[in-house]
This record gives sequence, structure tokens and C-alpha cells, in this order.
Amino acid sequence: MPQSRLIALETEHDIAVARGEARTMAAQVGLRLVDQTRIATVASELARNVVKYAGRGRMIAHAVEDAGGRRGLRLVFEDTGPGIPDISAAMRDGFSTGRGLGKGLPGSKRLVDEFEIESEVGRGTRVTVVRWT
Amino acid sequence: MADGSRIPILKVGRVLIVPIQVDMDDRMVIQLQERILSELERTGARGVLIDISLLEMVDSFIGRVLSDIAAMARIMDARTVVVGMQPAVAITLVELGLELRGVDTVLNVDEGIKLLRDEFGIGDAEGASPQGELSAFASEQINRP
Amino acid sequence: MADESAPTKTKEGGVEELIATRRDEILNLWIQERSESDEFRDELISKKELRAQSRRLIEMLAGAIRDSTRAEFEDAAFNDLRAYLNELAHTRAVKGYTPSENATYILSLRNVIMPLLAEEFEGRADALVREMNYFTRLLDRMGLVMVDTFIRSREEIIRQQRADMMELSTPVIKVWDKILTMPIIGTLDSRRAQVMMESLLQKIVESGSTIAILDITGVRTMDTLVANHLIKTVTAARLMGARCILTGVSPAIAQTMVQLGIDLSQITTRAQMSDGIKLALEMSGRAVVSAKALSQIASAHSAAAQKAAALAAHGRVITSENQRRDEQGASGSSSTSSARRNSLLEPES
Repeated sequence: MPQSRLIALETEHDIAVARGEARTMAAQVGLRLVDQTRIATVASELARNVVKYAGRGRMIAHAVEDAGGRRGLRLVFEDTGPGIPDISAAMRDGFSTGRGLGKGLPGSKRLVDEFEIESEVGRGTRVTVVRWT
Repeated sequence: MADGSRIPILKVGRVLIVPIQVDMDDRMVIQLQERILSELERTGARGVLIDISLLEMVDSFIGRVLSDIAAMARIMDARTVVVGMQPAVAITLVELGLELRGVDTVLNVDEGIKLLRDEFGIGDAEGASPQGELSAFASEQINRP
Repeated sequence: MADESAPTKTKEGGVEELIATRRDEILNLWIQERSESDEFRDELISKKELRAQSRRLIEMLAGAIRDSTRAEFEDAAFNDLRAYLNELAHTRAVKGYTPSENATYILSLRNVIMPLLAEEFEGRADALVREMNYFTRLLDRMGLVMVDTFIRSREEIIRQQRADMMELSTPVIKVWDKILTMPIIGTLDSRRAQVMMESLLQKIVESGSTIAILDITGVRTMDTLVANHLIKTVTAARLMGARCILTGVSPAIAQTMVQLGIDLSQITTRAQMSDGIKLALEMSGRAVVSAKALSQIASAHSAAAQKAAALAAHGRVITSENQRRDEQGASGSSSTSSARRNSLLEPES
């Protein structure tokens, strides 16, 4: 079982590839079906953000293990795009009714155990999420 | 390879049945939306039944498109019902906070046909027996692996 | 026994040569030592299996020492051995060995090898000390690997057993066609609530049920996390196309929920589970009627039908609401849903 996988995120088709890889690795790490679905969905949301807002970037998936031997999956989404000017606003943006815009970050955060976001205007964004078994 | 025409759109009576069997990328999703609307126009169907029992993930994009399909179909005087949502998908949607506004969701094809018939009066073509084609098709769907 | 006629003494090689040249002897001594010890679990492993395992182990050990040119246990040459030890430890955990039984197996090899080393290196004190230290270091590492993996495997087994227990503790029961009930009993923690939610939703799909009654009569206390899980369950079920009815909410829990600001306005609630079942039946288009009332209705119906037939035979047309509905019902065409709601206990086909 590979410890890490890297998926380039450039076209909208890559979003589907990324969530497929994420699900596969989630299964390999031993995550239950519901968690696999959560991971696939989070990967889809965050990969789409990269493609939509930054144009290109990448997803790196790591199989991880904590001190107690518990296994998990860490996904990192990075880009060198425009960055997010107001992270707290982005984290407040819920899904509004109808054609709401917004990066779906609060929703994504609820699907994982750990969520970290770093972003700098003009330099890029990195979102790291972890789901434990 | 993104090919939105791989998803069949079947017509049974006045209802379009759309069984989604593959993981779709964004382009396929949009293509499907366009095909459904153009089939509605072409056939004059009054109901759309989208079967997502084989769909293992619904994210915000697909969720929004489902809402859009329902809204656009409504404008064309057709009702949409989504059937067969998997438990894991339902749980994830709730956690995501996605509402699927404007979309009627039911448990399976059988319930979907009942809903279209009972609530919206959409069934087989006039004159045909009510328990005819639609029910046979429904039984076939339920027995599908 | 320092003697010219003794078995090949190794001048240059160390413990790995010893193992290679006197393998069978070592194996026999080790097996004997193990099977005579207090800890030998003959019900868990046969002598034959023990022999096969032990032989493989010492062969891998000797091979790894040689291939790594006598490196320490962290060297890559020991990877296969390490993997085999993990395998053994896991199997023993599953079989139910105790942790000490597990470690003693490896460490007992020391008792066999040490005297033989002393033999081989008699008269060469420095070399002997070097070999004994090296071998002891390896063996200690091996013992630790076994212990770690053993413990990890045991924890995994316990986790799995706990999960199984949780699933069994909340059965989902079919009370009628397409109506499920889930009586929840005992303390609900977040983890159990999660398992219950998944179990219920799965049963909803499997049974094609459109109504689920969640009864919390047996739940004594509730906190925000659990309440949120309940709400999540109800919302997810609705997304799937099933309606939930919450029954058995005690005054204490009702108070707690209001105080915690939990919004139950979206959920249908009933005080008693029986009320929930009655509501579920009504929601699915059924009514509960006594058998006596049923036969009264039936005979009134047939009397009216006979009267209508008689009048029709005389050329009169009956136009009352009831008659017209009966005629529609008789001809089998799909009627309005209000007609369905008046139907009797068993669903019409």
C-alpha cells in the first residue's frame, strides 16, 4: 500500500480523479464506508476549489498513523493561486440557498477530524484535512 | 473519459427515468442536465425520476445541479423526484449542510413512481392501465443488483 | 566440550554460523524447552506447527545476520524477519495467548543459544562476550517487536468486539410493512449514537421502509452531542425519503432539550410508542378499525350495493358520492388519494 499519492489538479476532470484516489486510499487505510464517502466528498469540494479559484494545484494524500497506532488519511490541497483575503469570512460562508457561492469550507470542516487552512494573498493556499479510523 | 451520453435516459409512459450508474465529473453532470431538459422538450414527458442508488457521492456541485434540474423541469411543467440516496451519502449531505432545495427525494423507484402518480397525477399515457408499464419497469429496477 | 573431534568450530563466523551448522540441535533443544515449560499452550498450537514456526524463525535470523554482515536489528536485512515476527504476534493475539507467553517464546531462545555459544567460543573470552552481547541485543529487539505488535493486535480485536456489541445493542425492528422501529435503551454516547444512525439508515434501505419510529423511552439522559446525532439521523432519513417519528420523550429529557436550545420543531414527536405506531399506520394510508365495525361497514356496503342494483334494474340512476366512488373502485381505475385514505387495514394491491 503506497504511503503517499500526488494528484495534479488542473482540469475539472482531475477533481473526479482526486476524489477517486482519496476514496481508494481511505479504504486501504481502513476507514469505514461512511468515512470513505466523507473523504471522497471533502476531496471533491477542496479539489474543486483549487481548480476553480487557483486554476491549478495539487492534492497529496498520505496514509498516517498516530502514536497509538491508529491509522488515518491526511489530504493536503495546495495551490499558488490568488489566496483567500479573509479566511474567517470564508469559514463563515455557509451554503446559501439556491445558487450560493462560497468555498464550502465550513461544511468540509465538519466532514473531517482535523482541518487546517493557510492562505496568503498573492502566494497561494494550503488546506490540510485528516480523518482517523 | 468524460462522456455524458453514457448515462441512459429512458422514457416510460410520461416519465423520464435517469439511472445514474457512474461517477460523473463536472462536465458529465452538466451534459446530463442539458440532455434531460432537451428530452423533456422532445418527448413532452411530465416527470423525471433520477435514480442515484448507485451514486456513492453527492457533493455541493452535484447537489446544486439536482436542484437546478428540478427547478428547470418545473418551468417546463415537469416534476422531478430523486430516488435511492445511499445512507452514507445522506449522512454526508447533512454534515455538509446541503439541503437539496426543491428536490423531492424518496426511497426507491417504486416510491418515486407512486409520488409522481399520487401527488402530481403523472403516470402512463391516458387509456393505458395504471398498473401497466410503469409498475413492470419499477419491479425490474428493484430487482436490479 | 573443547575437543579436536567436536563438531565444526567456527573460527571466523559468529552466532549465525553456530545456528547454521547446529540448526537441528538448536531447534530440538528450543522445542523441548518450550513444550516442557509451564506456559506451553498445547491447545493453541501443535508441536509440529511450533517446530515449523521455530525453524523458520531461526533460519531467517541466521540469514539476516549473515546478509547484513552482522548489523543491528534496524538494518533492512532484518525486514523479512520483522515481518514474520509481526505475523506471529498477530496470530498469537488472535488465538488468545497472554502477552508474557508471547514474549517468552522469543526470549527462551537465549537459554538454548548461550550455552552453545560458550561451547563454541571456549577459550576466546573476548569473542564470546562480543557474540553474547550481539545476540542478546537482537533477541531483545525481537521480543519488543513481538510485544508491540501483540498489543496493537489485541487492541484492534477489542475495538472490533466493542463495535459488534454496539450494533447488537440497538436492534431495528419491523413493526409493519414499511414501518420500522428502533427502541433505544441505556446511555447514549456519541459513538453509540453514530453506530445507531448508520444501522437505522441501512435498515431503512434494506427493508424499503418509509417510516421509522425512534423510541427513547429507555434513555435516561441526553446531551447536546447525542441530541445532534438524533437530529442528524432524522434529517438524513428524510433526505433518503423516510419520515421519522420520535417517541418516548420523558419530561426530564424534554426539559434538557429546551434548555440546550435544541430545535425539535422539524421532528414529529409522540409521547408513547403506541401513539407513534398509530400515527405511522395513518401516515401510510391505513386506519385501525375494530373487527366489529369492519363487519358492520361491510354489510352496510353490500346492502347498499344490492339496493343500487335493484334500483338500476328499474331504470333509476344513482348519483350519490359514495356510490360513484364505489363504482370507480369496482372498475379498478386509479382513484384519488382521499379514497385510499378511507381504505381498511390491509393495503389494497
